[in-house]
Amino acid sequence: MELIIGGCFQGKTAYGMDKLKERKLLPDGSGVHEVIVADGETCTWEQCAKADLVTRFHLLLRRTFKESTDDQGILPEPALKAMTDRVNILLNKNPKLMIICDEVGCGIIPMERSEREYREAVGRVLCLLSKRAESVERVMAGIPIKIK
Amino acid sequence: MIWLITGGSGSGKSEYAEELVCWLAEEKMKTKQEPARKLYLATMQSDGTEARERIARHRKLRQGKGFVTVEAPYGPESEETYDIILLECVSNLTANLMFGKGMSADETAEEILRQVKRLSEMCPQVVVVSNEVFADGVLYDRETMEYMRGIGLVNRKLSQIAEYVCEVIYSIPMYVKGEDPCIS
Repeated sequence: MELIIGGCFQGKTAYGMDKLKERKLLPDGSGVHEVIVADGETCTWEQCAKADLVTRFHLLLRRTFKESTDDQGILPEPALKAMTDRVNILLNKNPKLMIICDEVGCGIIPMERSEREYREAVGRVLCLLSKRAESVERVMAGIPIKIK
Repeated sequence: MIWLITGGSGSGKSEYAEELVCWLAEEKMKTKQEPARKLYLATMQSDGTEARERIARHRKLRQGKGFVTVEAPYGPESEETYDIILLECVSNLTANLMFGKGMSADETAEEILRQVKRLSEMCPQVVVVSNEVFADGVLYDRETMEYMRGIGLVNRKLSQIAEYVCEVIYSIPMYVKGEDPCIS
């Protein structure tokens, strides 16, 4: 698994797509094999399992987080567990996946508790991903920096 | 030696800072054949359930690592000497000084610089944890922006006197000053 992180609007997806297209060039140079992309805003975990690339992974995590918490009482531990369980299953099914995820933890702690828990949970999941990733790159202003 | 460790929320910066302290303790054991006395200076005030949960999580992380824990919401006061001090974290300390003691951002930064300098005079290794709060693009109210400026000032002043400055990015330490000691 490859992990690409960075702030929003830094060119992470363009960079990841270029990388994948290069690998998928047809032998005769006439084109590329299709790159299967799952968008974290709308895709399911099952779709990620069959994709080459998942973009906006934080939005998939966000939806999973929201589903695992209730309006009355936030349950951070079960929500985090729901996220890490799904990530582990996904990586076992699709160990070659490229994951693109926004960094969301470099701001002021949000006033709303669920937002605080969400940010923290994304961080914990990314720690797990960075440990399992073969490579981790951070994209800043379109420039990738290899950090693992 | 001063080490400044920063990172965003959930980045694994605390865990890394603790591993670093334990590694420094092992290094001391190797060279001087005596165990290091480790002090954990906790700046977070437990004023609610969430803070208590957070503190409990951090306590659990430190369990069995042989730290003496002292609460220091406004900074260290004890004159006792230790071999390694872990100060966690200066963003809480900044909030406590600015909002609890009414200090300005500039006064706070000077005060924290003074405190860390004093610690480094008493103790050979000081590890300071800070926070990356500068990149969510939100324009906050004046008070919050002033608080952010305070943390920025603190980080800048500390990085000048620190031998090592490191951002932890999802468990991966990235040294921007000093050479990565490659502790694991």
